[in-house]
Amino acid sequence: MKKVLIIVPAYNEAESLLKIVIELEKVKVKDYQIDYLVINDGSTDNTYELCEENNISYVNLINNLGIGGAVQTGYKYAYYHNYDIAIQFDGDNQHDAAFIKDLIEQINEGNALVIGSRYIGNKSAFKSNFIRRFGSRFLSSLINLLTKHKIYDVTSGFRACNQDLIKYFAFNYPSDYPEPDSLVQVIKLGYKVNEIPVKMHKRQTGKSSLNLVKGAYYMIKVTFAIIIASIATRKEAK
Amino acid sequence: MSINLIIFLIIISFIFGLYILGNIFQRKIAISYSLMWFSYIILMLFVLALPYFTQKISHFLGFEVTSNMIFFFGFMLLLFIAFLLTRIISKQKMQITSLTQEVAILKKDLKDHE
Repeated sequence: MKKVLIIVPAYNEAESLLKIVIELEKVKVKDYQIDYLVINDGSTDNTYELCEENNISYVNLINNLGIGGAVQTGYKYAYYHNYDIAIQFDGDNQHDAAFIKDLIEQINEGNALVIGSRYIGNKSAFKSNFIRRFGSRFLSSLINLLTKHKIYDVTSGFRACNQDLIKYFAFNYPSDYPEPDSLVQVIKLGYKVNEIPVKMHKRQTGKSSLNLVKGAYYMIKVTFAIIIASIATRKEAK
Repeated sequence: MSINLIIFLIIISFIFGLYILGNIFQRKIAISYSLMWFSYIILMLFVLALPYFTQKISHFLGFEVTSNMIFFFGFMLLLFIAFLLTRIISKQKMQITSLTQEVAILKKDLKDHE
């Protein structure tokens, strides 16, 4: 039986975490053992106590590493424990566990990385606000220009990858703008990437890590990170 | 360059050099990092000890005043040292990240084993 690890990075998500875990525990896919792992990224709320009291499967980071470092912890865990597939699933209720089986299916069909996209298909009524959509479209075009691959939702944190990429991400995961940066690396390394439509919800609790003021600065930095990744990643690095 | 300025700079470089040496002998800074600071002192003393030679070089490079060249190179060296520090910080950030991750995983494995 193949093993799947769902990586749930959580920074101050105590309000939504329990609901997500209950949802994830219900996920069943034929021929697969599905485990989840909450990464408590040095939360300052009661995320830690919550995990401890409710017998949640979690690891506790003693320093706040940010999203990249937190997710990488999950990949390391998956690598050390020989998981076949790793799936990133945000701890803020944006993602829908019903689509996990679709991601697994796509990995089964030979894709190395599968992205759950809110911008393709019409499954997701929520497509986030205008400015974010514009930013996303820009990054998508930039990646298309640099890699000749069209991916629509380049910042999606709902993704699955196979064993090769678990190993790669365990030791090469960008810390700052991990989703678009790692996507470019994966394409440049020559792995097969696919994107499937999923349903995404509006954040119900907490606030997004991006706001309007930071938005423009974020775009500049992320553009820089993508260009660096596309130049510096070589096939032999694999 | 006036003899007063030369003497002043030599004294300052000397005191700074002694301070760095003191720190090295007390094992407060790693020798590998002390070298870049030492290079600054050595450059200063070398330049100040040979005023005629220094003047020739600065003239050749197009500096109007010799002291400008000394300050310019001091400034460039400081920029370089600041950059080296950024490199060191980045490396340490990565090391701290992987330490934090490994500790977290180790703790989980220990707990699961119990």
